[in-house]
Amino acid sequence: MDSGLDFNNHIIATFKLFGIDIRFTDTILNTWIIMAVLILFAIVVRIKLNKFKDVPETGFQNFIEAIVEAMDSFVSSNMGIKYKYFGNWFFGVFAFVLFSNLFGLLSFRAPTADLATTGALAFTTFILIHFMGIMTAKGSYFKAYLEPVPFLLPINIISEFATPVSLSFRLFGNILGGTIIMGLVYSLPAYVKVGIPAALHVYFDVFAGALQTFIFVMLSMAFIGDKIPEEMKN
Amino acid sequence: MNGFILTLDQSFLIDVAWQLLNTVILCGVLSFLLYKPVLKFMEKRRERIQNQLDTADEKLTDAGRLKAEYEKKLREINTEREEILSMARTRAAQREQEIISQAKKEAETLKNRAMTDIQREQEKAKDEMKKQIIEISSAMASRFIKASIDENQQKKLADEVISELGDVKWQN
Repeated sequence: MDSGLDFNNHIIATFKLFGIDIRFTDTILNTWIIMAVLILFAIVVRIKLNKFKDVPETGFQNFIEAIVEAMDSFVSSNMGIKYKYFGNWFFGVFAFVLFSNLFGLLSFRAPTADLATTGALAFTTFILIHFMGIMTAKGSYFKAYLEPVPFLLPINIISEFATPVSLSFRLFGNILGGTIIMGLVYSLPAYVKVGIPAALHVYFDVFAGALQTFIFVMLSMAFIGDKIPEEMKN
Repeated sequence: MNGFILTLDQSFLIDVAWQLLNTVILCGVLSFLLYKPVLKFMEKRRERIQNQLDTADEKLTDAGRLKAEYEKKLREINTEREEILSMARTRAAQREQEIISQAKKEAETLKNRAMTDIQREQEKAKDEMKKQIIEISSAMASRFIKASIDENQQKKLADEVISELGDVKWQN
């Protein structure tokens, strides 16, 4: 391609492990950068937590309390107070997806613009949906596949598999779309590029990114919560 | 540098596995370092504040109860005081009456005694006076008699008295 258009997820290196080709891509590298930033931030929080006061005195403490509190009440209201320990998982997912989506602002390729990332996240959601369903609903989990009428069983099964697919492709498509449009805009002649990319970044990265993060986490919670019988949630 | 946007092959599955591992590690670390400790901190604070509120509530009810108790006691003390005071007043009034009547009685007795004393003194004075009058009159009489009668007449009078005395004896 000579046009200078490049939305690709580059393969930085490949190596063989047990006879299998493993590629080291932009996605992995950028994921590690995000992980490093988030883990560093978590370490800072852990150190500062010892100095936290009952009445918050710093904006930092207020901010940390606000985000943790928000996630806690978010999980409680979506999945029930009994299952609010899922906040431990979704807090990480939320932070990772949000930072990934916003990563385009720094002209990095967003890890969520790779189906491998969103697929991995949707896969965990899929596993949690059915694990929690079997653990909490027991027999009625399987019976639900025969409802409302038994011959709908194939459709029910398809819909279960459609869930992670739709989850992963929604996020992937949105972010990849943003990446492609941004790439196209950046390929425009220089005199059109003043100001326009900034506005588009705000829309595709900040607005769509935050919104898609919220939607992904929210839907994951709702799907998992759906499989937990209502009377077990409190 | 070659690249791709989307492939669905074995490499894709390996990428998924890799990202799965990354995500699990990230979520685990964030949960361990950030989410759990902060949540625990807030939960502990919530409990502490709840405890403080509870104890404050308890103390408030205690204080209310004690206040009511003390007010009741105060009222009781007041009524008791009133009772004691009125009792003391009645007793004092009684005692006053007693003292007055006793004093009156004593005064009466004293007056009576004084009266009898006065009467006795009067009698005594009268007797004295009588005695003295008799003495004076007999002294005067003896003077008169000495001057007016001679020896014969004296003899005659003495005889008369003696005879009279004898008559009296006889009569007895």
